[in-house]
Amino acid sequence: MLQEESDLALIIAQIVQKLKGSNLYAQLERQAWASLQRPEIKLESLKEDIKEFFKISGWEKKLQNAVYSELNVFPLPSHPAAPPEHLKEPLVYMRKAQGSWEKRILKSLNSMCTELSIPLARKRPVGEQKELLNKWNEMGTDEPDLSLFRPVYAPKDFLEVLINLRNPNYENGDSHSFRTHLGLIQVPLKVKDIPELKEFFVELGLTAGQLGIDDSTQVPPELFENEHVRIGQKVLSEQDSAAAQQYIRQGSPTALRAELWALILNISSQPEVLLCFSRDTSVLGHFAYNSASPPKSYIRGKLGLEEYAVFYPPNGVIPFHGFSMYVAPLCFLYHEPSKLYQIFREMYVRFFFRLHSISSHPSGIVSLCLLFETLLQTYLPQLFYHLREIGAQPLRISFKWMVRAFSGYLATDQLLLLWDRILGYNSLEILAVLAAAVFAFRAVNLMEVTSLAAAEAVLADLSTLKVMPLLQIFLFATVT
Amino acid sequence: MSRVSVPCHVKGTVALQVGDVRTSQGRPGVLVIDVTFPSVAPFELQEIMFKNYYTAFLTIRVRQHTSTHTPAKWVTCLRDYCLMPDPHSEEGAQEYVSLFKHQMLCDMGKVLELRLILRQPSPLWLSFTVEELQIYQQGPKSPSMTFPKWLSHPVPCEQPAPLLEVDGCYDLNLLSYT
Repeated sequence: MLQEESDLALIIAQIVQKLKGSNLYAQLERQAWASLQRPEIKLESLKEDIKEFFKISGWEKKLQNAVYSELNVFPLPSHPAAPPEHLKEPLVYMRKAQGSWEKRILKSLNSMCTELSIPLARKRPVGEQKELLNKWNEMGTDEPDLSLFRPVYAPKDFLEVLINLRNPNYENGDSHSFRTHLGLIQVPLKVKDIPELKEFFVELGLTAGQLGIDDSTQVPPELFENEHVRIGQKVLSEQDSAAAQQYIRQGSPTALRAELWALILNISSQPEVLLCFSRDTSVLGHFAYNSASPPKSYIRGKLGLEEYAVFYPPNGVIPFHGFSMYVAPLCFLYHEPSKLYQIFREMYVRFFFRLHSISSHPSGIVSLCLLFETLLQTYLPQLFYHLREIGAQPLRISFKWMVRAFSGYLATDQLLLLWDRILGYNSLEILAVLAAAVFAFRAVNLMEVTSLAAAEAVLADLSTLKVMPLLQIFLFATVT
Repeated sequence: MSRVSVPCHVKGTVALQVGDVRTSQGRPGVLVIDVTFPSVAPFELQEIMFKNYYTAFLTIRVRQHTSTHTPAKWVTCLRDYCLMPDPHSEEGAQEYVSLFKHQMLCDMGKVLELRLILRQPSPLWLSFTVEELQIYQQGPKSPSMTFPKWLSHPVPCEQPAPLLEVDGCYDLNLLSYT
């Protein structure tokens, strides 16, 4: 069997395996059984007739969307000899670094518990249970006293860890070579250069219409906007996930965004029990391709006994300071809690988890930091050098933007236009490109500052920025 | 098709370098690894498997048994196979690789010896090699097309069934470091 054929067979087998456990599989089975009642289904051509029925009724499309979703999310099956940890992260030194970082977080959480004499989890005493039931409907307005709790870690702690990442097999000497990287990240991951980015983000080019640019008030809507909205409506009526992902690269009309995101993320329309994110054990599935691992604990009194081992929190994710910023923008899109939650969960296990775990993935935070620094060093060398000289390494300013996917820094409508492209390109690289574009935009002011504080001040307020013009100019209109 | 591992002896890596290895400044960019099969008759090679460690290009030469009395000659069966698309960056640096019979430039019917020539042109890496080298010959043929055994038991993607609680209890004191 040729290598390509066996690779394809492997991928198909893996996807079938995954889908067999899904709700969709059960639904398809039920639909197939129910279809036997239909007059057009004949026994002698049963298989073909059912397939035709699936095509006409839209179930085939649902299956296509599910397969497309799997292809987007899960990495391709790796070599049979590769152990599971290789799938999480192929580079050994990165795995080790992630392990050490996790241990630090665990230690920090444990010391907080010990200092405050609070266990990780316990059953609520009866008195408290009664009190909670009484005010169940006003929960949102009554906050417990959190003043003693401090965040487990803040983005700047994480940045220090990334700065100290080293490959033991890499020439880390002081001598300057052709590869001297003047930034903070010192690991040689492969990142795209501008020609490669132009190819990757081709739909953001100057000749293509964009929402965020070509829908501004001065531009007549007949030129682009009307047609784009019409196409969006068509994509939604076809319920085609792949088409939606391609479409949204040019931005989503506000009215269609909620539905388009749900289609791309393959969110089921079935109402689901709304779980608090921390308790949602289905999130544990993403640790197969996340370099991080869920923390473990043991039921009180059963330390070391594997049958009493549990994950903590149940979803395996320990949030950091600012974590809620991943959810906040979504509240503008979805009013129904069930849908809002599903969208957030899917965005987290597809994208956001990469922003706070150490891995070599092209959308991982390490690659994004390196991409940002490389773009700046290569295309704005004077600015980069100047900032470095005054003790204002650019990454120290842009890191917090990227780690939060710009949430809380941009105006909401701009943020949503940015997140449209994250979905459209199934990549977080656009965050690094935008960060570099922001520096390019404010380059003149930045060249005049003489301290880190002054540089921070120039870049403190991003709320007036328009992201699409910035990105377009940086990628397609700057003389390189 | 099933495959059977062929026991092999991997000789120590030899660096190809001009001048004295100890005193010269640069690192060798070419390494040679000889692989012999001391207790095995000339066999048909099915697959070569290894874990890469920062090797950028791989060339393989093979010496095969000939029916005539002429001495067996070295023939290149794989030329400059790329393992790292960019020798200066991490991509492909620690990947598991399999090379199959059909990828070879010549017939691999009666293998006596293999010579792996590793190249890493980038001066940025301190060392490079290939690890966990395994050579396979064809196993007993089966009538139906069978997938490798591991496919019917794919690596589980999910964690073992997580306990949200044990006997209704989720009393936890501290996190575990193991």
